Amino acid sequence: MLPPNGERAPSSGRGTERLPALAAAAAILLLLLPLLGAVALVLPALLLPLTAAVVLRTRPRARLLFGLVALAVGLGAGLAGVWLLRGAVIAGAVWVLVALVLLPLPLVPWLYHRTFDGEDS
Amino acid sequence: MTVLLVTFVLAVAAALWGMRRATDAREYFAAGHRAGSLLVGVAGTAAALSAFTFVGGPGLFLVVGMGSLWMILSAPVTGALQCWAIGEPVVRAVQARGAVTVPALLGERFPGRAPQATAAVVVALGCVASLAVQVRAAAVLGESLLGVSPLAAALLTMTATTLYTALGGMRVGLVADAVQGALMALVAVILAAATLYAAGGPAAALDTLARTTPDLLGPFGRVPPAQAVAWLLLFGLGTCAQPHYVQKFLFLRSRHELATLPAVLTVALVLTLTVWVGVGLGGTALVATGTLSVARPDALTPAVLRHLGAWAMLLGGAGVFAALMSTAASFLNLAAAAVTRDLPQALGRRVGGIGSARWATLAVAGAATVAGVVSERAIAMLAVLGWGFFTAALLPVLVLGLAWQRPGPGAAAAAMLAGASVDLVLEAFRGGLPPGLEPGLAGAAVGTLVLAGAAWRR
Repeated sequence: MLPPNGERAPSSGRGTERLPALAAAAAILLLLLPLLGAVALVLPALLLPLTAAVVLRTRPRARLLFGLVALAVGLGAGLAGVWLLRGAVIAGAVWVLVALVLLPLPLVPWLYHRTFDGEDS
Repeated sequence: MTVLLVTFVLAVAAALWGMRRATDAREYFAAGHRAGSLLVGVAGTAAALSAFTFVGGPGLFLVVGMGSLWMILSAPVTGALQCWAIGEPVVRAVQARGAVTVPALLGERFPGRAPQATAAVVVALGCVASLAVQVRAAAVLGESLLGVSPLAAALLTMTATTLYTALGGMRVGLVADAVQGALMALVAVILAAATLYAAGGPAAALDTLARTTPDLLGPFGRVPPAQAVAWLLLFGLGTCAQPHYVQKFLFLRSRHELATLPAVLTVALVLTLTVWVGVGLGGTALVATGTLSVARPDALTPAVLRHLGAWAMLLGGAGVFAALMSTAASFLNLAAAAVTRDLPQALGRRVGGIGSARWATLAVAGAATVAGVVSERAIAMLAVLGWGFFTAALLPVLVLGLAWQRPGPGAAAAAMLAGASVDLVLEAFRGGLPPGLEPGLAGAAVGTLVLAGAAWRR
């Protein structure tokens, strides 16, 4: 568990091994994407926040981790809705525009601003 | 023609303004490292979005409907994603060591000749190829939007852009990009609103398509879900690997500017992308009702603009050429830097000064113009060295390499070469690839495995 707003220097140890392992797993998932079918919809909710999470190497803060988890949950909910509405002609199109564009539009930059710290780490 | 001539006069004025200010490499390649988030955000968006946003995007909507939007669905996330994954380490590195180019940044992170040289070659190749595509787009769009001969449109656009980029570097390029970005956003919103109004409003446009071509709607339109996801990931993750995006982080005056940068990037990006949705949805509805008829997808935007009237043609022409020039300016500067600074530095040769960068800018512009005007076949081949190529070659070293200290220079160079090679090989067989297998993503995945594997063995 990360200390709330506590700074931790980029370290060796478990974190060092976790990053390449996660990256390798993500790379394999990308290569398998054509075979994943509906499961492929999980990938953006997983990989976009995971890519952003490299920032935790230099700013390992609980608030930042919470923000990235919130991003993953939000993306996951939006993409789950896409799958549920895949047969709906107008509702499906409107869901994409509202849930995946309009709703996160103000939220994600706000999330970044909230998790940004002014100190030079 | 008036649009192009006014643009040319403004470019001459900008060149004269910038010539006296861009006096050293820091000013010429990195705008003096003193820009704020507003300038960088608007300019970065302008450089990122080419004429494809105004013409290719709506045309793609006509063919695959809502599926085309998966290319731009990452827009609300990419500003923050870039700042988290790339912006923070890049700004920190620039403050510590003052890099002025992307390959130099990688050269500092991975000491040794191979990484910087490989990055310089990747950037130079990709930028010249992307420039040639912009030249071709200027020729085609000059004819269809402004009624100017293709050669005149291409030559005027490239001469104007080359003039201010060669003389003023990114000191002028940043300001010009920001002005062009603001114009693009304004034009995009006006054209999107006018097109949807002409189609009876967004609800009426959706109703029309639901009645006539329902397969264009739904969350995926006519695109297989795996391909839609691949586009979302390619254009989402790929933003962290485009040298003309990463370059903008080199311009920031301090790390604190990052706090508001995602908000600026996101607003500018989404405002400009309204043209894709508005002209795509409204224009497709107008085609469905028989109000418009188009021979090919790329003719949708010009047909919509003609339908809206002369004011829309003028506005659309200005927006499209602003998009072309802002993208071209960044590519010209990046390619000149790769040829005159990064490659010689990596090979242990004397680094060229501003004078040689100006000549290199002219040479790069000339080569791209010849390739873009002369050969359609060359353009088809060069077009593959764009977004996917940069993603495949640079994503692993920029995201993973800057965050993880273990990979060495050999692993970084091998990852870039492996990623680029996989992308090029798969692009050669693109027609036969299954939905969801995007060459750029596959290249980035292989590059990541190479980087992680080689570093683990150390």
